[in-house]
Amino acid sequence: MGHPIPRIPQTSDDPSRRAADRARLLERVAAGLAHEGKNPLHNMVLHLQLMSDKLPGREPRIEKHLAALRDGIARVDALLRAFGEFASPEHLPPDLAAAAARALHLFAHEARRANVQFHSRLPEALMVRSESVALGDLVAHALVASIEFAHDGGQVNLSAEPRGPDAVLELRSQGGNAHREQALPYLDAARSLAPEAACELSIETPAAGGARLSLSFQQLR
Amino acid sequence: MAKARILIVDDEENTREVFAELLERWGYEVAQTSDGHAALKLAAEQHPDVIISDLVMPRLDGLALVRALREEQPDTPVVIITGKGSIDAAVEAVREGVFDFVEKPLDPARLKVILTRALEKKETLHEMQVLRRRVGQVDAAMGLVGSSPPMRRAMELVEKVAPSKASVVITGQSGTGKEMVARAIHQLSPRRDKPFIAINCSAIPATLIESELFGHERGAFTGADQRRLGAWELADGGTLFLDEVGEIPIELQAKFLRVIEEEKLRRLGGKSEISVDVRVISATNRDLKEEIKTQRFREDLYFRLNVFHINLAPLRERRDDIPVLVQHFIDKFSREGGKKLQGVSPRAMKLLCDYAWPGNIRELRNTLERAVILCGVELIEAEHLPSELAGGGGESAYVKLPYGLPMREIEKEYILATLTRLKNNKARTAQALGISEKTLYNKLFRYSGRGMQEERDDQRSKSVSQPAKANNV
Repeated sequence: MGHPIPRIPQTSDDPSRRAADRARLLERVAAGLAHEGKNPLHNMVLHLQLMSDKLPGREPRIEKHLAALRDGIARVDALLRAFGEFASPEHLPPDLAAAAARALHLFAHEARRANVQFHSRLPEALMVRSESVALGDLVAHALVASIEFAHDGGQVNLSAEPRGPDAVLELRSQGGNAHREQALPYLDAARSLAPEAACELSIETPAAGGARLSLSFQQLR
Repeated sequence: MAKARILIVDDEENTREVFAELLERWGYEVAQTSDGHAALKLAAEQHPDVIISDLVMPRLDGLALVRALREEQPDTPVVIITGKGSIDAAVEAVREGVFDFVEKPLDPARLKVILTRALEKKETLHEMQVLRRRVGQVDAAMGLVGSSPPMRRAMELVEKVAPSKASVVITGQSGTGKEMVARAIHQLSPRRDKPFIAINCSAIPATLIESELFGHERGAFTGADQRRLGAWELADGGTLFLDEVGEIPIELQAKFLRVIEEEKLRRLGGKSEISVDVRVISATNRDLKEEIKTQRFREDLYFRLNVFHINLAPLRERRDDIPVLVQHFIDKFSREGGKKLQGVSPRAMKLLCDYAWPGNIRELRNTLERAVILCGVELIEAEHLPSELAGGGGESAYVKLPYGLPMREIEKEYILATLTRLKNNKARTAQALGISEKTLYNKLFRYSGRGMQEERDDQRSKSVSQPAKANNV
């Protein structure tokens, strides 16, 4: 007989509890998926290389097909990498530029669906004094909110740069038909995450439309 | 030229097989297996030049395999391939001695470069071993250092037996210098210009020992794709040193005895007999008389080998020799390292003389080699010695690095050691190293799989940084 496992007191119909339980499970599934997805890609690369080695002096149209397959593998790989890093960011360095690039990659489909264009200007790396998990979540929430503000034909300009001792990520939404209601939960989440991420968050939503989100961090030197 | 041998370890059969086919097309000889335990066994039998292993596998994973191989085959480069490409995983892999860490999906062009580098490293290590053996042979007679009564007695016996062809058995604890004594006998004998071949019988699998000793003809057994001379033939005219002689399988001992008595041998699969003139010196830390009682060692072979017996006392029983041994090793390593060390401080000498030296002279030698590397002044101080000498069993405060390591590798080893000592606290590590946390993160990132690639790219292009780029999604 083992020791009984203690039960955390709860009500079965507590929706926030159920959401947290589900989020925890999803986090594990996401990490596993990002990892397991690499194995078939690896296998495909090996088969492709072998096929390529076995077909010396091949026709240009076959070469075109092989290149297309390689390109497809590379795209899925990049997506899986971004997904894996987003799901388990705790071991990543606190890099604001990388967090923004990752969010752009993962929410590109959101932008296409909402007919929103992204224009981004990011340095290779921009280390900030922050905590990686909170940083990644904060940037993702800010980006989704920005997409909602530029819904139906607008654009989001995203840039990150050092400013004196700080590093600033700015997201400007303009044009389109803003979905303010849909943006609110993401803005709320960003506000609540900002202190944990050691971020000074400023949100401007001019009456004329659009939005400007500014995320300011202390640079890691 | 023989093909380089690669062992692939991956639990996914399809991946393993296509990988093997690809590497065979690239001109390698490939063996494959599905788990770490089988890989260890295959590695011991086949001595691959490079091992490519998946990281996550059931039973024994890639890193556990690297740890086990470090004991058995430290010179074999291991390349880890993984879908889990975190910085921490890469840092841990590098810390465990992994040669390279590659993320899935693999970049075939990069793999080709890695394999070339791994084989170059293996070849370099092999050449260094050969050189060390030659250097060891030259100064072997000088290596018998000491003036204590047990050492004087051993030296007298060496001088007496050396000119003859009598077989000698040397006994003593591990690290007491049995091989040094054997080399000294060889150097002082008329055979000094002929080969001295040393074989450690415990390091060779039972299935291979017969072939190692007596050689084989092509086709003698599966895998014997060419004729190979055994140690006995290689030592013709010279001396054959058999360390851990008690490990020779009982079924092989009769053949062994016959070769000693008749001075003729037949290679495995061979039809004719070959005459050999070899002096046999054996060593053991086992009680061979006890082995005879339990029928693990033939009595007739024992008497044939043990014509002359030299016993080497453990270092703790001849503490009078410690100061002269200390000076001998300081001179040797200072000379080799281009340093001008004079000796050790009185406090350091007291620590060296008081310590029990369970690993005997080998341990003393290694301790002083490390101290010479660490010491930047004329005298080795107590702080240049490991903490266990002062009675503390704690983690060493020093990083041991071999000679000839490139600066880039020295920096990496030093950073990782500091990170380990400071319990992975990156802020404290950066502070201790006098660099920013950002720089530390960048370096750790470079040590990870992606980073290593970037490092090579950096080397090629020497581009310091790239301008901000505009992305449109």
